[in-house]
Amino acid sequence: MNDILQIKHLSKTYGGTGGAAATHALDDVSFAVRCGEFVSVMGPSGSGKTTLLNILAGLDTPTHGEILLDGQSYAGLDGEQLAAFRRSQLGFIFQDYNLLDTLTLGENVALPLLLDKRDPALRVQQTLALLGIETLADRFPYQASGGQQQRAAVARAIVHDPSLVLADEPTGNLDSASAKLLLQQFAVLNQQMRVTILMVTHDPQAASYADRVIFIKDGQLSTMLERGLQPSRAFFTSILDTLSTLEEG
Amino acid sequence: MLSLLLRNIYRNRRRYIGYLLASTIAVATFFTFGFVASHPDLSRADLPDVVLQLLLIGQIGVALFALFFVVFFHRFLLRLRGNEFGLLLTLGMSPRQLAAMIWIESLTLAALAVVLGVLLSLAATSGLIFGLSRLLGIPPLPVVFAPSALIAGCGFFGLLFVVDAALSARWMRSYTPKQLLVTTRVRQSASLSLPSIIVGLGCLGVAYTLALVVSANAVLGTASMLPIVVLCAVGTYVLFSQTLVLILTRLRRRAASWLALLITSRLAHRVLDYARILTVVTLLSAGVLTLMGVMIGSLAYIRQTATSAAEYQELVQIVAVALFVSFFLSSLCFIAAASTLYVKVFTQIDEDRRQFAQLRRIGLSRRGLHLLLLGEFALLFFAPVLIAILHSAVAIGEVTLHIIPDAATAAISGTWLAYAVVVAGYLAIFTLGCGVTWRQYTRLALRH
Repeated sequence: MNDILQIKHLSKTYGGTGGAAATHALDDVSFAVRCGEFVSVMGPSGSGKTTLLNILAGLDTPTHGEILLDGQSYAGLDGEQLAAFRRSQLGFIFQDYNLLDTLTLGENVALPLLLDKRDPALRVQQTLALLGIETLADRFPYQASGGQQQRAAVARAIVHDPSLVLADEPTGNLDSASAKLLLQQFAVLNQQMRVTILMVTHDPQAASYADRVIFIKDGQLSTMLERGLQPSRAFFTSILDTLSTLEEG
Repeated sequence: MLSLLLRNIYRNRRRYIGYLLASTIAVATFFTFGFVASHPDLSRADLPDVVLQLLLIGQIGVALFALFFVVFFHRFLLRLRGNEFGLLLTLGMSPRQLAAMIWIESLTLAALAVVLGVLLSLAATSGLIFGLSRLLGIPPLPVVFAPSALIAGCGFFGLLFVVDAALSARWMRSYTPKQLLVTTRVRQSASLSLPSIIVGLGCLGVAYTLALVVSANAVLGTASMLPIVVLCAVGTYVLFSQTLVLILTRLRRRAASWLALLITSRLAHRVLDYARILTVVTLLSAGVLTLMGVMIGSLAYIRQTATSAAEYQELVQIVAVALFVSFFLSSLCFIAAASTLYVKVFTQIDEDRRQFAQLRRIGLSRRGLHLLLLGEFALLFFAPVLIAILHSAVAIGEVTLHIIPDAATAAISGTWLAYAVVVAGYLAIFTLGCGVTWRQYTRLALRH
């Protein structure tokens, strides 16, 4: 299986000019994500997870290193090209949903297609149905529960068939039942629709739904866990073990 | 995409309505003043030159007001929507599409404002022409809408709105999506710097000196009006931001009480916004105080000094027009000051509701929150008025020194007395405004 995302020697340094101490948010991070894979990135706060996600989203530029998404490098893209790249290749899911309050759930989902000048009619309905919220298309975000809003955000992230979906603590604001439902849907989307997902989380339960968990600490890749053929329960336990070893060392 | 855009405007209407109202008022006042000033019978009516000059100065004042109102409110509206724009960019809207969206939105609203404003000005003009004829002591003038005023107004606003839309679009385009997404959360920072303080004091010093020295000469005095206002604005802004930084850091370091801690941290978080708003309200208030003080003062002066009946008649006409112009302008300044405060206060309500809910949860009482808001509003309303009193006192001093010839003691004391009355009235209105805003805001922000 080919790699959809390749991250090569990625570093990000903040500050360090005028005598101030430099912060190495990311320090020579390299890994790859296979097409159709569901990867979790875990690490303590301040480990560089968010910086990694921002760089992958094209919202921040690395100090060193290169990213290839579907063989294409981010480097050298100007604002307009980067925007076009984002709207065709990437999908985003945020911790606080980030739906536009003035648009209905259906319109929010249609937005990426409209930005890319594609006809939303059929595709939006299909995607909403896939996530079980087709009856809520005409509701506004404030008329929907947190779980429903987050499912609409997931629909928005996958409606345009992106190469990669980036999720930033997607279950962070949800109660445990809604979180579980959302993660099950992630798994279904990943297995049946072959959606590639990279999810940043600090919740081991959420991470255990992934095929692979990457741990970063102090800006460096520390270790990696493959689910392989283990049952969820066992994978969850080994994630917990790895986390506690990381925190000790 | 376009229909989605329009729907977005429609559903954002509560936010747009403030801006639409502001630009409608700007358009209406400009046209009203233009219609009255270029009334054909007025220029034929054998009025002293001074009257026509006064009308011209008035027109320039109204244009400046319109400029400020449109630009200020538009920027404010756009900044409120930073989050939305940041999200759109993240989802892949290109900077060019975003700029185009802002451009289209701005011009749609501008067209609406021009139509509404012109309609409003037709009604207002009819009323004003009637009132002005009575003031001038001439038979009621027919209501005429001079085409020249219509053309001038359309030209002015056409240019203003197009340039403003283009600059706004460019301005929003210059931000990265990340900057936009976090605008409301990121703390604004300003640091104490001696050079800034010197520059600020220098600006005010030069402005005051200019006001007191140059204005003896009528031509130079008029020409130096703009630089004086600009220097005053820069000086006031710098001093407000520096003083806020100084006081806030001092108070916070001590953190004597929860109230001091909360107020200082909330102000410090948005310190530049506060400095900006305080400056604007200060300058507008100074405008109101000066205009009203001079106007009422000169009215008293003329009553005392006119020697012959004919001279009295001419002076009365001059004063009538001066009255009209300064009353018109000071009302505008007052509306602008009040709406600036209104916008500042009520746009933070969503953020405050969230923060207050958190504070209630950790045990802060309703009374505590009332107190917190009272402290903030008192600063917001009264700091500008106090500085405005200083500014306008200098302006009144200039008037009594130079404009009143041979400095008749009675006229000078009359002007100062009038000024004192105006200041007292203005303070009363602001106290009332502060109280009402506080009541309304606490009720809305603590509803849940």
